[in-house]
Amino acid sequence: MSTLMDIINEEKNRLEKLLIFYDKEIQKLPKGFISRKKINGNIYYYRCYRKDNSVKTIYLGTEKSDNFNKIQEQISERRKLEHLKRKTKENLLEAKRALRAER
Amino acid sequence: MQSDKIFIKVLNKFNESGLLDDLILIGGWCLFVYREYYNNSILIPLKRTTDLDLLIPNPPKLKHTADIALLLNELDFRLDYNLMNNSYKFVHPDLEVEFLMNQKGKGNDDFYEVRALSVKAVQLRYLGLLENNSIKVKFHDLFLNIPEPAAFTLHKYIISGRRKNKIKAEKDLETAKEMSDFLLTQEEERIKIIRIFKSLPAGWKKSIFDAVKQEHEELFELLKG
Repeated sequence: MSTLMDIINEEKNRLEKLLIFYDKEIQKLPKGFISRKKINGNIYYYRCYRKDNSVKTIYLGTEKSDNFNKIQEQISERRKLEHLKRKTKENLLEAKRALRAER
Repeated sequence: MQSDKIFIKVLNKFNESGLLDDLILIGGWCLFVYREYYNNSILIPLKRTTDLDLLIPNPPKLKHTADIALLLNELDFRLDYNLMNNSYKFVHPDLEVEFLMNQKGKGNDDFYEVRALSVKAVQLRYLGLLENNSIKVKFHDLFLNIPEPAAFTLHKYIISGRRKNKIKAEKDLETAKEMSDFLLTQEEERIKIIRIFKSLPAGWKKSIFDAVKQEHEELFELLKG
């Protein structure tokens, strides 16, 4: 294998490990999205997520609630990680394509 | 290339916190900087990888403090700390940032906790060669510490013989040979190679001699004096 292909192969291995890393980090975070409901002039927040073909809703509290802020942050972090994972997958495909072309 | 862009972003981020005053860029990305420093000479190989290695001086007497994890998080890097395989690095789809430190004496610790930067640095031997022979260069409107190209090249010869990973060893050797070809065309660099080589401990000189004897006749003759 040429040096250039070695570098691409090394990068492929790195990206495969990175995908596992992102998966593990994503698993630690809550999935779903946050919805808000206005009841009697007050705004209340809920986490909605899909489980076994049904949508579950969990009450989080008002805007000032620690629980709401924590979950909001975690969901936003999960989205970022999912985006990074998608990017990693694209890079991995590119590396695999280059290696296939060489063979 | 995406990694070029993120590389510059990391440097800019560190520059804003004054960290570039202390950190030394080492590893494959130095070639990218050397290429620019030497007027885009095509003799300089561009075998950079997605590993961005930054050397923290040992002892870490730093001019600035910062929370590196926080700075890198803003650029979408996440910390991957794994005690099982001795890794502590900041990962991103296009780049990985790792902090290294010269291992001194009989130290066996894998990591050195640098509290001023809130990071752990991986300790490796022979990095003193790069730390003690660094220069400050202008790169993309930044001032960056990098090893003297001569030190970078001699270091590659030393570590190529000590790598367990054969592919990495071959890559090091190839980079060292290509850099030697380039440096030997520059009179100033020939002088630097000799000066740095003479300053090294006997064991290190022997490692370089053994590698160079087989791989680069012209450099071998120069070092033999």
